[in-house]
Amino acid sequence: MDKDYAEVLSKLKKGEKAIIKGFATEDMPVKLFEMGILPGVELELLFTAPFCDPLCISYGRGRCCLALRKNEAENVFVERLPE
Amino acid sequence: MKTVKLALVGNPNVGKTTLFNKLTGLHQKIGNYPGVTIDKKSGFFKYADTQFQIVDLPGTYSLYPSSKDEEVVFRVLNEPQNADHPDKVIVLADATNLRRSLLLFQQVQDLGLPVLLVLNMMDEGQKRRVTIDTEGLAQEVSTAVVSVNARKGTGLEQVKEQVRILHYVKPPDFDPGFLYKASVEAVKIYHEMDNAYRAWYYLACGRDLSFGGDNHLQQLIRQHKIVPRRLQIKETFERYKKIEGILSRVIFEYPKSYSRFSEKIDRYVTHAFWGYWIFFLLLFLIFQGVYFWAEGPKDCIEGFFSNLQRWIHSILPVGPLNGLLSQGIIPGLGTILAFVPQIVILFFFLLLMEESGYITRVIFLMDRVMRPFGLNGKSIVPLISSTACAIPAVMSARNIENPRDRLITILVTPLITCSARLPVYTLIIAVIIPDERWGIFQLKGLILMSMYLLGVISALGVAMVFHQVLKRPYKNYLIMEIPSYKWPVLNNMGISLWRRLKTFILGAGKIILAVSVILWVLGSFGPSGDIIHSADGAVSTLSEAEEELGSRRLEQSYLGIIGKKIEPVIRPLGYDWKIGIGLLSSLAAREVFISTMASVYSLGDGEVFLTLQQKMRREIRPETGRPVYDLATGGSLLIFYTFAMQCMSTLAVVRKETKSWKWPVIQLIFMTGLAYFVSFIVYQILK
Repeated sequence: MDKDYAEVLSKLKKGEKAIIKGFATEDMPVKLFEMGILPGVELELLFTAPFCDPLCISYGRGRCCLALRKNEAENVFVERLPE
Repeated sequence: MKTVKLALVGNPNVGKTTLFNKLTGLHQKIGNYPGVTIDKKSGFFKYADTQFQIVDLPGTYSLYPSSKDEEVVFRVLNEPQNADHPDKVIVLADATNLRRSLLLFQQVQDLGLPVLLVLNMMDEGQKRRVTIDTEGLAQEVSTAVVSVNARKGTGLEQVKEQVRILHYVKPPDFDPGFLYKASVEAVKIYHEMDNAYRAWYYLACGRDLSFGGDNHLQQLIRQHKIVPRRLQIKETFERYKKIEGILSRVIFEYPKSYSRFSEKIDRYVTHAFWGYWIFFLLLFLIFQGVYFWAEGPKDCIEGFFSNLQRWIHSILPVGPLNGLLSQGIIPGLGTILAFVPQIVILFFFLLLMEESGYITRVIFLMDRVMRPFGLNGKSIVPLISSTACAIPAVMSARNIENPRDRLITILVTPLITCSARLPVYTLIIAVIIPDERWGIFQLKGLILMSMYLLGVISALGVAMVFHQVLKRPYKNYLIMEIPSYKWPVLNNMGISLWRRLKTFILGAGKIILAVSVILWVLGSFGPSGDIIHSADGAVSTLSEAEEELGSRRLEQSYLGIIGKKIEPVIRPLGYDWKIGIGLLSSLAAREVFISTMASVYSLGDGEVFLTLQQKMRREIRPETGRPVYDLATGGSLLIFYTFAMQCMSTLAVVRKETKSWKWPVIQLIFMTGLAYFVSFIVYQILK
């Protein structure tokens, strides 16, 4: 799949919401799935460290909060939700 | 009375340790699991006519281990022959985040164990507009569901009652799906078991964690073209699908944000600019604590032991026993306990950071900064700890899941200036650096500060070298839950602090004591027999003549002989055999250098520091007639103490944490080699 084509999690701005659409590689850490980062789950970008790496999102209906690196976030396809 | 074995399982940050502390109080003990480095926390409690033994298993998100330490959870739960294999399991879930907890719950239940589901923080959930129909949930997961508040300690009686009557075991009905049916059957037949999930688990792990069937498993994996990761992913996806179904029937949730309160705090604490300032401010506070607040209690402890030493020396008849107690064991104990105040202060701050949830923000902020050095955000905790002492620092590196990052962290932490180096630095700086000041800056203070900077720079530099040299077997990632802020519970912190302190004293204490006794033996006996005790009777205060005699005896002892034997080796660094003895004595702990130098220059206790400075300044090299402690030797000595691996206890802890002699030996060689090399250059230039 072409990375430039779809939107990815790492490109979101602070406070933007999106829905997870899929993953760019088969090689995603399983831990991410175990934590509930799955297709269809809604998320919001909460804050980032300098250079947008790592980033912190809240996700799912439980609104739990997770930090992940840009490296992984670049491989999560999302669809932006309107405000 | 019969004993029922329990295991406490749950995600990280759900309050597992809090519940464990509340259930067992201080009836706890710490042990080891074979093969891994995490502490095994077990405890006891009594309820009705039953004695319960409970193990607090490490927090995990699933049974699939993401680090070697997490394997423990599966092993304990799956191996009936394991000493901790439970009769019943308690899964603790966070009511505000039930999904993730149910994933783990289902896995444990599928292993065929009776499981009780305990929901923590129900009231927190209600605040965030999450309500759970516990009875409905109990029906859905076919076991009893109890809600508690572990922090307040409510609902504990119910947990005990329900766990007492718990007996339901889920029938082994795990469905591996059409694709994997044949291979799962094959594993089941090979191991003669009826539980399909266990068989599936072996395949999904790609390794046979428990039994000796690894060859068979590898063969199966090849034969059926199985990609173990895919099994884990399939299982996770399917379980979540099922969980969403269950939750849609029993949970009512409309949370707006993950936590208003936390979000407000995080606006500053994780700010790209203020976040770092807040962190540095806190670091400064920790340093203050470790170095200044600890000073008073430390002096008390040292004073107490030096009085005790004198008292023992005066009441016991002169002889080896007297010497062993008053010059070997008691000063050794004093050295260990003198570390306690600063370690307590350090642990207090770290626990405060952990319990409140702040530490995850620090890890978040520091992750990117640490990465070029082959470290990650989690390395920050060991690096902070090592400013007090490398031993708790090396132990705290356990929290780093990535084995490579963890190893690099362990290898470099001893380079950070620990508190035992401080007295040595202060003494040498006082002797060799003149009293000059420019405005508010004092030259001595500046030098001391640059010694600290040098420690940090060398640690990061060496980390970078290891980062280049070591293989990179795994993909490196950071996936970390950011919990909402919580008020720390003092009682809970107290128990954790006590547990860590005990580990420190027992771990480091043994070695420090052993080295102190060995040093005493070497320092008081020589080839010409028992020399130190051949003199007159017991006296409480030594006269000057006797002290002079004592120092001559030290010269003739084995320690003195060794010191003279190594003199040619350390001569190029500008040291004589007396400094050599000081270096050897630092094997117990670096600060022992001071008291050893005091006895080398024949001083009594008490007035040590100031007089020692003067004595050292007056010390003359016999061959040149110039002072021994000039800028060259002093500078070289400062550098030597910065880099050299002298602390035996640290080596022992590294060996324990890395499970091999390889790494402590490498550490010893590269650090001491570096120290020798740089000190040599410094001495030759300044000479």
